[in-house]
Amino acid sequence: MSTGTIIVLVVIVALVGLAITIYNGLVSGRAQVRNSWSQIDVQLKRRHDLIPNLVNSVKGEMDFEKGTLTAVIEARSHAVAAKTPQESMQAENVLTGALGRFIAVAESYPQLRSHEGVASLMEELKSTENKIAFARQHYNDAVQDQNIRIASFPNVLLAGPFGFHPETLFQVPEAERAAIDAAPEVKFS
Amino acid sequence: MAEAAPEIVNTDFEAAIARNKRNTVILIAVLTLIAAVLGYVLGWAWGMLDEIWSLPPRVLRQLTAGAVLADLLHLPPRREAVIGVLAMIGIGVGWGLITLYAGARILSAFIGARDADPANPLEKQFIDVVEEMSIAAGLPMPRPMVVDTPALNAFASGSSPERAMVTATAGILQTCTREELQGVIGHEMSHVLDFDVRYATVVAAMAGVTVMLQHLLLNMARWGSVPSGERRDDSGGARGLLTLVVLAVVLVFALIAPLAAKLVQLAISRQREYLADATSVKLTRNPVGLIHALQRLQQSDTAIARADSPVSALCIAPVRSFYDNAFATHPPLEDRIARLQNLGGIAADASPSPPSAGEPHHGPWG
Repeated sequence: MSTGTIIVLVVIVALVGLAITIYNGLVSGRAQVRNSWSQIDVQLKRRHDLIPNLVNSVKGEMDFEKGTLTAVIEARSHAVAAKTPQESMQAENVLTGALGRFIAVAESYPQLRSHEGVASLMEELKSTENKIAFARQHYNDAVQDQNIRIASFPNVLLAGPFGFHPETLFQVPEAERAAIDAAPEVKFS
Repeated sequence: MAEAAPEIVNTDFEAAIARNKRNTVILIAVLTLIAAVLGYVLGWAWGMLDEIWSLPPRVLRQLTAGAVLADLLHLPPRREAVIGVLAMIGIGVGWGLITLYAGARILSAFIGARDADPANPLEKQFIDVVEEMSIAAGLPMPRPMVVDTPALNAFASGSSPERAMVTATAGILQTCTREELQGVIGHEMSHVLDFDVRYATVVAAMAGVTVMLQHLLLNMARWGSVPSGERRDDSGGARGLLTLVVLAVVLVFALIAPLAAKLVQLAISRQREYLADATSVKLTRNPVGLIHALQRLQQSDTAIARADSPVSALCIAPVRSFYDNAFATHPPLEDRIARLQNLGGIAADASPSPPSAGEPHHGPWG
């Protein structure tokens, strides 16, 4: 074999090696994105399971805040019943809004502090809201990383042919932001 | 803006993170170079001494002190010098890996840490915050542990994310608000995320190898292990003189190299601390929590009882804040706060101070 042939072979092997590394990187990135998406679902489901307990604990103390509590219960049933991802996202955002208002209202009730069970449930709720937010944040981070990976050189040459496409970021549509941002209505008895 | 302006001039934590990682690579290269140089000098000395004591006197007369020194830089290098280089690097990395896998559990037992108790509301909050941060980081949840001491501190340990532990003192759990705790735990998660335990251990081993060798050499010098009277010296003392030249060279490097290595190790440690702060902001998207936590730390005692240097490098703040310079494992708190404020686009005098220090914080639930 002449030197020329050997050099060509070495270059080909090196290129194939590079292609394999790129492909594996893209696969890994996509898996991260899928995984972080399911994390969000895990946390959303956790929230659904948490709410009935919460409602039972505070029902007695917050009779005069029935409106806020009812909003939470209703939002939860809609969220659980949602069929399509679109419906689900909408319902979850409404639930986030209702819970946010509920937490704000509940924090202004001194008599609730005396109930030990309520304190730990509120911590659970706060933590769950945080976890959902962080799960979404991580999903977006994973999407951003993957999109950068797909668009960078030399990955960009192989991404399309290998079937990797830019992923979509999680965003709350303008219309639904209103549901989350509405100021809590606090009624003083 | 403060007089000593932080080098990061934008509010982009990704850039800050990238910069820190680059600096770490440079510093580790320097550390490896120092270890390699010492290995080279030692190998060279070994080969040179061998030659001095085995050459026939006729040939030896041509070997002057100057020639010996010039030989140090001679290319291609002696076989022994190359062996020296490879040996130093090999031992450093090997030692690092061994300490890594044995290290984590020993550390926790040493400190006296116990698992966090979910029945305690503050510790439950701590467990929740750790879980939240691990979700933000996309990592398996580290094992939350607590040390019962009023000092304010936290640290991360464990050689890989799957084996990680995050430990906080009872003091920090009682004093910090949830937001501040999130910043602190975010900082610790960053150490896990960036494999800082692994880095710190290998770096410490590299630096440690040079120090260890120094001790070895100085002891050997005391025993006078290069025999002067026993071997035949038929060259009229020339062998003895040349030996002294070689030993002088070795001594110079043996004194300087470990010191330089230690300084580089500490520089790397400080760099990783800035990195952890920046990554914490990436995780929480909120520099204020960590800023307030660091401000609290400025006002209090951070010493964890019985802690020694291996823990110090992984804590949120130095265990003994005597040093504020090249010998510190952590950058000065003011600089860290200034960089975080820059990341958050917060003016130095505009950020509100945390709820009064010394007063344990109670949430709305008591």
